[in-house]
Amino acid sequence: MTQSIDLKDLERKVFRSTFQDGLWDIFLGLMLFAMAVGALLSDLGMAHLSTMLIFSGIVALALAVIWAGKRFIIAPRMGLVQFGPEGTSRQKKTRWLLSLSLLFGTAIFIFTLVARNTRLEWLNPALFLGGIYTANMLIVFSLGAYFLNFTRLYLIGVMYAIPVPLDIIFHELADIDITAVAVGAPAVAVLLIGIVLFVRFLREYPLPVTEVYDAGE
Amino acid sequence: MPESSGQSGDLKPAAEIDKLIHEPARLLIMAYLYVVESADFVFLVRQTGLTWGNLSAHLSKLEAAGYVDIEKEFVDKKPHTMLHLTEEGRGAFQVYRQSMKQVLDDLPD
Repeated sequence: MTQSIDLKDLERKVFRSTFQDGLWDIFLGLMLFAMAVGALLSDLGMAHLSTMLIFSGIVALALAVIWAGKRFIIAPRMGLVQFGPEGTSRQKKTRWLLSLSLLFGTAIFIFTLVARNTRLEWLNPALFLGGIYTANMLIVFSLGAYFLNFTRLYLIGVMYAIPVPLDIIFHELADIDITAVAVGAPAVAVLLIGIVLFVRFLREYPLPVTEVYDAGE
Repeated sequence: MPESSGQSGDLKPAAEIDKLIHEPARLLIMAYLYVVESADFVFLVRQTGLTWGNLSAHLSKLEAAGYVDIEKEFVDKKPHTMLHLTEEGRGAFQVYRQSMKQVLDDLPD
Protein backbone atom coordinates (compact mmCIF):
# COMPACT_ATOMS: atom_id res chain seq x y z
CA MET A 1 0.00 0.00 0.00
CA THR A 2 2.36 2.65 -1.24
CA GLN A 3 0.04 4.76 -3.41
CA SER A 4 -0.34 8.43 -2.62
CA ILE A 5 -3.87 9.75 -2.20
CA ASP A 6 -4.89 12.46 -4.62
CA LEU A 7 -8.68 12.43 -4.57
CA LYS A 8 -9.14 13.73 -8.12
CA ASP A 9 -6.63 11.22 -9.39
CA LEU A 10 -8.28 8.46 -7.37
CA GLU A 11 -11.68 9.35 -8.83
CA ARG A 12 -10.21 9.22 -12.35
CA LYS A 13 -8.52 5.91 -11.58
CA VAL A 14 -11.81 4.42 -10.37
CA PHE A 15 -13.60 5.73 -13.44
CA ARG A 16 -10.89 4.45 -15.80
CA SER A 17 -11.07 0.99 -14.25
CA THR A 18 -14.42 0.60 -16.04
CA PHE A 19 -12.61 0.54 -19.39
CA GLN A 20 -9.67 -1.71 -18.60
CA ASP A 21 -11.42 -5.02 -19.24
CA GLY A 22 -11.41 -4.68 -23.04
CA LEU A 23 -15.16 -5.22 -23.45
CA TRP A 24 -15.80 -1.75 -24.87
CA ASP A 25 -13.00 -2.33 -27.40
CA ILE A 26 -14.56 -5.66 -28.39
CA PHE A 27 -17.96 -3.97 -28.68
CA LEU A 28 -16.65 -1.14 -30.88
CA GLY A 29 -14.58 -3.61 -32.91
CA LEU A 30 -17.65 -5.76 -33.54
CA MET A 31 -19.66 -2.70 -34.64
CA LEU A 32 -16.97 -1.84 -37.16
CA PHE A 33 -16.77 -5.49 -38.18
CA ALA A 34 -20.53 -5.46 -38.83
CA MET A 35 -19.99 -2.57 -41.26
CA ALA A 36 -17.17 -4.47 -42.97
CA VAL A 37 -19.31 -7.59 -43.38
CA GLY A 38 -22.18 -5.45 -44.67
CA ALA A 39 -19.88 -3.86 -47.27
CA LEU A 40 -18.43 -7.25 -48.27
CA LEU A 41 -21.83 -8.89 -48.72
CA SER A 42 -23.06 -5.89 -50.67
CA ASP A 43 -19.99 -6.09 -52.93
CA LEU A 44 -20.64 -9.80 -53.46
CA GLY A 45 -24.11 -8.92 -54.66
CA MET A 46 -26.15 -10.34 -51.79
CA ALA A 47 -29.75 -9.15 -51.51
CA HIS A 48 -30.18 -5.96 -49.50
CA LEU A 49 -32.53 -7.58 -46.96
CA SER A 50 -30.17 -10.50 -46.27
CA THR A 51 -27.24 -8.10 -45.88
CA MET A 52 -29.22 -6.00 -43.42
CA LEU A 53 -30.23 -9.11 -41.48
CA ILE A 54 -26.63 -10.29 -41.14
CA PHE A 55 -25.49 -6.75 -40.27
CA SER A 56 -28.20 -6.51 -37.59
CA GLY A 57 -27.20 -9.94 -36.27
CA ILE A 58 -23.61 -8.82 -35.69
CA VAL A 59 -24.78 -5.57 -34.07
CA ALA A 60 -27.06 -7.62 -31.79
CA LEU A 61 -24.09 -9.87 -30.96
CA ALA A 62 -22.00 -6.80 -30.06
CA LEU A 63 -24.75 -5.52 -27.76
CA ALA A 64 -25.13 -8.96 -26.17
CA VAL A 65 -21.37 -9.20 -25.60
CA ILE A 66 -21.16 -5.85 -23.80
CA TRP A 67 -24.30 -6.44 -21.72
CA ALA A 68 -23.69 -10.06 -20.74
CA GLY A 69 -19.94 -9.56 -20.39
CA LYS A 70 -20.31 -6.68 -17.96
CA ARG A 71 -23.10 -8.42 -16.05
CA PHE A 72 -21.80 -12.00 -15.80
CA ILE A 73 -18.02 -11.78 -16.27
CA ILE A 74 -16.76 -8.35 -15.24
CA ALA A 75 -19.02 -7.47 -12.29
CA PRO A 76 -18.34 -10.68 -10.29
CA ARG A 77 -14.58 -10.20 -10.77
CA MET A 78 -14.25 -6.45 -10.50
CA GLY A 79 -17.18 -5.60 -8.25
CA LEU A 80 -19.81 -2.93 -8.63
CA VAL A 81 -19.51 0.80 -8.21
CA GLN A 82 -21.88 3.73 -8.47
CA PHE A 83 -20.07 6.90 -9.36
CA GLY A 84 -20.36 10.19 -7.54
CA PRO A 85 -21.47 13.50 -9.11
CA GLU A 86 -18.28 13.93 -11.17
CA GLY A 87 -18.47 10.46 -12.74
CA THR A 88 -22.19 10.78 -13.40
CA SER A 89 -21.61 14.16 -15.05
CA ARG A 90 -18.98 12.62 -17.34
CA GLN A 91 -21.38 9.87 -18.36
CA LYS A 92 -24.11 12.43 -19.05
CA LYS A 93 -21.77 14.55 -21.19
CA THR A 94 -20.79 11.50 -23.22
CA ARG A 95 -24.41 10.46 -23.72
CA TRP A 96 -25.26 13.97 -24.96
CA LEU A 97 -22.28 13.91 -27.25
CA LEU A 98 -23.21 10.57 -28.79
CA SER A 99 -26.84 11.65 -29.23
CA LEU A 100 -25.77 14.90 -30.93
CA SER A 101 -23.35 12.98 -33.15
CA LEU A 102 -26.09 10.56 -34.17
CA LEU A 103 -28.50 13.43 -34.93
CA PHE A 104 -25.81 15.31 -36.86
CA GLY A 105 -24.87 12.18 -38.83
CA THR A 106 -28.51 11.47 -39.69
CA ALA A 107 -29.10 15.09 -40.76
CA ILE A 108 -26.04 15.04 -43.02
CA PHE A 109 -27.07 11.68 -44.49
CA ILE A 110 -30.58 12.99 -45.27
CA PHE A 111 -29.10 16.20 -46.72
CA THR A 112 -26.83 14.15 -48.98
CA LEU A 113 -29.76 12.05 -50.21
CA VAL A 114 -31.76 15.21 -50.92
CA ALA A 115 -28.76 16.79 -52.66
CA ARG A 116 -28.34 13.67 -54.80
CA ASN A 117 -32.00 13.65 -55.81
CA THR A 118 -32.04 17.38 -56.60
CA ARG A 119 -28.79 16.95 -58.56
CA LEU A 120 -26.74 19.68 -56.96
CA GLU A 121 -23.78 19.70 -59.29
CA TRP A 122 -21.43 21.47 -56.93
CA LEU A 123 -21.72 18.61 -54.48
CA ASN A 124 -19.89 15.30 -54.77
CA PRO A 125 -21.96 13.16 -52.37
CA ALA A 126 -19.21 10.60 -51.78
CA LEU A 127 -16.60 13.22 -50.91
CA PHE A 128 -19.05 15.32 -48.91
CA LEU A 129 -20.43 12.42 -46.90
CA GLY A 130 -16.94 10.95 -46.47
CA GLY A 131 -15.49 14.21 -45.19
CA ILE A 132 -18.33 14.81 -42.77
CA TYR A 133 -18.22 11.19 -41.55
CA THR A 134 -14.47 11.35 -40.92
CA ALA A 135 -14.66 14.68 -39.09
CA ASN A 136 -17.64 13.47 -37.05
CA MET A 137 -15.86 10.28 -35.97
CA LEU A 138 -12.65 12.07 -35.02
CA ILE A 139 -14.44 14.80 -33.06
CA VAL A 140 -16.89 12.50 -31.26
CA PHE A 141 -14.36 9.84 -30.28
CA SER A 142 -11.82 12.44 -29.18
CA LEU A 143 -14.34 14.27 -27.02
CA GLY A 144 -15.54 10.93 -25.64
CA ALA A 145 -11.95 9.95 -24.82
CA TYR A 146 -11.42 13.30 -23.13
CA PHE A 147 -14.61 13.24 -21.04
CA LEU A 148 -14.31 9.59 -20.08
CA ASN A 149 -10.55 9.59 -19.51
CA PHE A 150 -10.46 6.61 -21.86
CA THR A 151 -7.23 7.19 -23.82
CA ARG A 152 -7.62 4.21 -26.20
CA LEU A 153 -10.76 5.85 -27.54
CA TYR A 154 -8.54 8.32 -29.47
CA LEU A 155 -7.00 5.37 -31.32
CA ILE A 156 -10.40 3.72 -31.84
CA GLY A 157 -11.65 7.06 -33.22
CA VAL A 158 -8.87 7.01 -35.81
CA MET A 159 -9.75 3.40 -36.67
CA TYR A 160 -13.38 4.45 -37.18
CA ALA A 161 -12.41 7.53 -39.20
CA ILE A 162 -9.88 6.12 -41.70
CA PRO A 163 -11.97 3.55 -43.67
CA VAL A 164 -14.12 6.07 -45.55
CA PRO A 165 -11.34 8.42 -46.80
CA LEU A 166 -9.21 5.36 -47.62
CA ASP A 167 -12.06 3.85 -49.60
CA ILE A 168 -12.75 7.13 -51.43
CA ILE A 169 -9.07 7.67 -52.27
CA PHE A 170 -8.72 4.16 -53.73
CA HIS A 171 -12.03 4.48 -55.57
CA GLU A 172 -11.32 7.93 -57.03
CA LEU A 173 -7.66 7.42 -57.88
CA ALA A 174 -7.39 3.77 -58.86
CA ASP A 175 -11.02 2.80 -59.34
CA ILE A 176 -10.52 -0.04 -56.87
CA ASP A 177 -13.34 -0.88 -54.44
CA ILE A 178 -11.75 -1.86 -51.14
CA THR A 179 -14.57 -0.91 -48.76
CA ALA A 180 -14.66 -4.27 -46.97
CA VAL A 181 -10.89 -4.31 -46.44
CA ALA A 182 -10.74 -0.62 -45.48
CA VAL A 183 -13.36 -1.18 -42.78
CA GLY A 184 -12.41 -4.77 -41.94
CA ALA A 185 -8.72 -4.19 -41.17
CA PRO A 186 -9.31 -1.50 -38.48
CA ALA A 187 -12.20 -3.61 -37.14
CA VAL A 188 -9.90 -6.61 -36.67
CA ALA A 189 -7.24 -4.38 -35.09
CA VAL A 190 -9.73 -2.95 -32.53
CA LEU A 191 -11.13 -6.44 -31.87
CA LEU A 192 -7.63 -7.83 -31.26
CA ILE A 193 -6.81 -5.02 -28.81
CA GLY A 194 -10.05 -5.78 -26.97
CA ILE A 195 -9.45 -9.53 -26.87
CA VAL A 196 -5.88 -9.11 -25.56
CA LEU A 197 -7.10 -6.73 -22.83
CA PHE A 198 -10.00 -9.04 -21.98
CA VAL A 199 -7.73 -12.10 -21.61
CA ARG A 200 -5.29 -10.05 -19.52
CA PHE A 201 -8.19 -8.89 -17.33
CA LEU A 202 -9.39 -12.49 -16.80
CA ARG A 203 -5.89 -13.56 -15.74
CA GLU A 204 -5.41 -10.59 -13.47
CA TYR A 205 -8.81 -10.81 -11.82
CA PRO A 206 -9.89 -14.41 -11.22
CA LEU A 207 -13.36 -15.05 -9.90
CA PRO A 208 -13.40 -14.67 -6.10
CA VAL A 209 -14.44 -17.89 -4.36
CA THR A 210 -17.19 -16.27 -2.36
CA GLU A 211 -18.00 -13.08 -0.56
CA VAL A 212 -16.61 -13.44 2.94
CA TYR A 213 -17.52 -10.14 4.51
CA ASP A 214 -19.10 -10.77 7.88
CA ALA A 215 -18.73 -7.58 9.89
CA GLY A 216 -21.31 -7.17 12.57
CA GLU A 217 -22.23 -10.85 12.71
CA MET B 1 7.37 29.21 28.92
CA PRO B 2 5.53 31.31 26.37
CA GLU B 3 7.40 29.36 23.69
CA SER B 4 6.12 26.01 24.97
CA SER B 5 2.53 27.27 25.20
CA GLY B 6 2.88 28.50 21.61
CA GLN B 7 4.07 25.07 20.52
CA SER B 8 1.17 23.28 22.15
CA GLY B 9 -1.13 25.73 20.36
CA ASP B 10 0.50 24.85 17.00
CA LEU B 11 0.17 21.15 17.68
CA LYS B 12 -3.54 21.39 18.43
CA PRO B 13 -4.63 20.45 14.88
CA ALA B 14 -2.36 17.40 15.02
CA ALA B 15 -3.94 16.30 18.26
CA GLU B 16 -7.38 16.64 16.71
CA ILE B 17 -6.65 14.33 13.80
CA ASP B 18 -9.11 11.47 13.63
CA LYS B 19 -6.95 8.45 14.45
CA LEU B 20 -9.55 6.04 13.15
CA ILE B 21 -9.21 7.52 9.65
CA HIS B 22 -5.48 8.15 9.98
CA GLU B 23 -4.59 4.44 9.78
CA PRO B 24 -3.31 3.96 6.16
CA ALA B 25 -5.64 1.11 5.14
CA ARG B 26 -8.72 2.83 6.57
CA LEU B 27 -7.67 6.12 4.99
CA LEU B 28 -7.54 4.38 1.62
CA ILE B 29 -10.96 2.80 2.15
CA MET B 30 -12.44 6.15 3.18
CA ALA B 31 -10.82 7.89 0.18
CA TYR B 32 -12.24 5.36 -2.28
CA LEU B 33 -15.71 5.56 -0.76
CA TYR B 34 -15.44 9.37 -0.71
CA VAL B 35 -14.95 9.63 -4.50
CA VAL B 36 -17.83 7.29 -5.38
CA GLU B 37 -21.49 7.13 -4.44
CA SER B 38 -21.24 3.50 -3.33
CA ALA B 39 -19.21 0.40 -4.08
CA ASP B 40 -19.40 -3.26 -3.23
CA PHE B 41 -16.96 -5.35 -1.22
CA VAL B 42 -15.31 -6.96 -4.27
CA PHE B 43 -14.68 -3.57 -5.85
CA LEU B 44 -12.95 -2.27 -2.73
CA VAL B 45 -10.80 -5.41 -2.47
CA ARG B 46 -9.68 -4.95 -6.08
CA GLN B 47 -9.02 -1.22 -5.82
CA THR B 48 -7.33 -1.07 -2.42
CA GLY B 49 -5.29 -4.26 -2.77
CA LEU B 50 -6.24 -5.25 0.78
CA THR B 51 -7.02 -8.85 1.63
CA TRP B 52 -10.62 -9.88 2.25
CA GLY B 53 -10.02 -10.37 5.98
CA ASN B 54 -8.12 -7.13 6.35
CA LEU B 55 -10.75 -5.11 4.54
CA SER B 56 -13.48 -6.80 6.54
CA ALA B 57 -11.79 -5.93 9.84
CA HIS B 58 -11.25 -2.29 8.90
CA LEU B 59 -14.82 -1.93 7.65
CA SER B 60 -16.10 -3.26 10.97
CA LYS B 61 -14.30 -0.44 12.77
CA LEU B 62 -15.53 2.19 10.33
CA GLU B 63 -19.06 0.85 10.60
CA ALA B 64 -18.90 0.88 14.41
CA ALA B 65 -17.83 4.54 14.28
CA GLY B 66 -20.82 5.31 12.06
CA TYR B 67 -18.63 6.33 9.10
CA VAL B 68 -19.63 3.56 6.72
CA ASP B 69 -23.05 2.16 5.99
CA ILE B 70 -23.16 -1.50 5.02
CA GLU B 71 -26.11 -2.88 3.12
CA LYS B 72 -26.34 -6.62 2.78
CA GLU B 73 -28.51 -8.21 0.16
CA PHE B 74 -28.80 -11.36 -1.89
CA VAL B 75 -28.26 -11.20 -5.64
CA ASP B 76 -29.00 -14.45 -7.49
CA LYS B 77 -29.03 -16.21 -4.10
CA LYS B 78 -25.47 -15.00 -3.39
CA PRO B 79 -24.55 -12.60 -0.60
CA HIS B 80 -23.71 -9.13 -1.83
CA THR B 81 -22.52 -6.19 0.26
CA MET B 82 -22.81 -2.56 -0.81
CA LEU B 83 -20.88 0.07 1.09
CA HIS B 84 -21.16 3.82 1.22
CA LEU B 85 -20.01 6.64 3.43
CA THR B 86 -22.59 8.02 5.83
CA GLU B 87 -23.07 11.78 6.14
CA GLU B 88 -21.05 11.55 9.34
CA GLY B 89 -18.29 9.64 7.56
CA ARG B 90 -18.17 12.12 4.69
CA GLY B 91 -18.00 15.01 7.16
CA ALA B 92 -15.31 13.28 9.23
CA PHE B 93 -13.22 12.69 6.11
CA GLN B 94 -13.49 16.36 5.11
CA VAL B 95 -12.47 17.45 8.61
CA TYR B 96 -9.57 14.99 8.49
CA ARG B 97 -8.37 16.45 5.15
CA GLN B 98 -8.53 19.98 6.52
CA SER B 99 -6.70 19.03 9.70
CA MET B 100 -3.96 17.23 7.79
CA LYS B 101 -3.52 20.14 5.39
CA GLN B 102 -3.26 22.55 8.30
CA VAL B 103 -0.78 20.38 10.17
CA LEU B 104 1.42 19.94 7.09
CA ASP B 105 1.14 23.60 6.08
CA ASP B 106 2.18 24.69 9.55
CA LEU B 107 5.39 22.66 9.43
CA PRO B 108 8.51 24.76 8.87
CA ASP B 109 10.37 24.31 5.53
